[in-house]
Amino acid sequence: MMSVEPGMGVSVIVQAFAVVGIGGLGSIGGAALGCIVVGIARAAAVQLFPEIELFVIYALMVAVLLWRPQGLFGAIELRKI
Amino acid sequence: MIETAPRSSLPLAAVAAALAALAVLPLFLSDWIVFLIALALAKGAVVLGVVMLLRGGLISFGHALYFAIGAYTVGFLANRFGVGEALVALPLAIVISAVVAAALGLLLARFRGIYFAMLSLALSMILYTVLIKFYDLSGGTDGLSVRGFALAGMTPAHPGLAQYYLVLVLTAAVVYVGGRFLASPLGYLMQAVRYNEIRIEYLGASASHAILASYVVSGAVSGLGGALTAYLVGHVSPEFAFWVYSGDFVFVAVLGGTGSVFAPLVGSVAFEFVKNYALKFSPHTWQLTLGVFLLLVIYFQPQGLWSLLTRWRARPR
Repeated sequence: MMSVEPGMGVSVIVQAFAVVGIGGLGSIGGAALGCIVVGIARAAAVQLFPEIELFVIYALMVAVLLWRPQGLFGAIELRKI
Repeated sequence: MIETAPRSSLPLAAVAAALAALAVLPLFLSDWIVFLIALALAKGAVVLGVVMLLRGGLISFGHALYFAIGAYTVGFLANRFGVGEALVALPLAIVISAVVAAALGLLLARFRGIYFAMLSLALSMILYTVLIKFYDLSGGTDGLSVRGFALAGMTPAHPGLAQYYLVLVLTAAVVYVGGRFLASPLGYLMQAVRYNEIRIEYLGASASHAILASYVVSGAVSGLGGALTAYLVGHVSPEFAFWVYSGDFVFVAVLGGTGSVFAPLVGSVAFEFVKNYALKFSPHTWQLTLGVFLLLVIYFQPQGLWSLLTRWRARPR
């Protein structure tokens, strides 16, 4: 539940960026899974370790990108010569 | 590799004239305009860092990271250790930024395109959250105030003016170093990275090496810009690491253009002035004014404001 205000997009856009990064570009299933992962991680952090509540989304994104540079379900691009 | 000067480099006379004009400016203009120019030049150094990577086709959406590292180095020294000496804080800011950039660059050099942008964004947001949450260390959302500015052991009677000249000299140095770097074989390699990376590898050069080196130089330059901004503004806050700042830097880079090392400074000065005058003349709709200005520039000058000048020079006479 959110209130409507002119700057409301700002709070969503970076999280959306993180979700897509985790799920993988171009993958709808990946985005759906990314949403759940980010949402649960954030909620769990608020409950268990409130200090890292803001931190956890980005840490998760860094961890996923290090493990799979194209995100969880992103297609691996072939480089052309 | 044949070394040639970048095509868009200015004649030395024009550079000297511009520097001289900036140097005598405080005699004629009021304090707040001088402050605005100094702020624009300091931020322009960060934009130059962004442009260095843009030439390789890499969009760093997290350069606020180095901006904040530089600014907080100054903030910590001044606020926690009582060291307001610029000749201590500024080199330290450069070194710390470069070390962090080297460590993160090893990681980032593996990524391209949107993933490079996202990872750099995530890293800067991590610093942002750390700065907010560790209240005892960083002052939390209050930030740190920067007190006791001193230059070479002296406390200037007119700190604003001293800082203006400090910024002017250091920005000139940054532009010189940036120009030398972009004209070096490594700098040219970055342009090749944008077009075709595999061919670089076939030529026997390393794309990752070029990206890493550019990233370290870019981070160091941005850290210096952040440190200078901290002295000018007199206060550092976690917003310095927030992605909106990174977005502004990328935006100003596009606004100025990537054709020359001077373009980021031109873009930055134009951005700050339009923003301030928009605030002055239309306080309720200044975002609208700024947005319309940026849209017009991007629509009519997709190569950035700098291309106005190069087009004028290229015109047959």
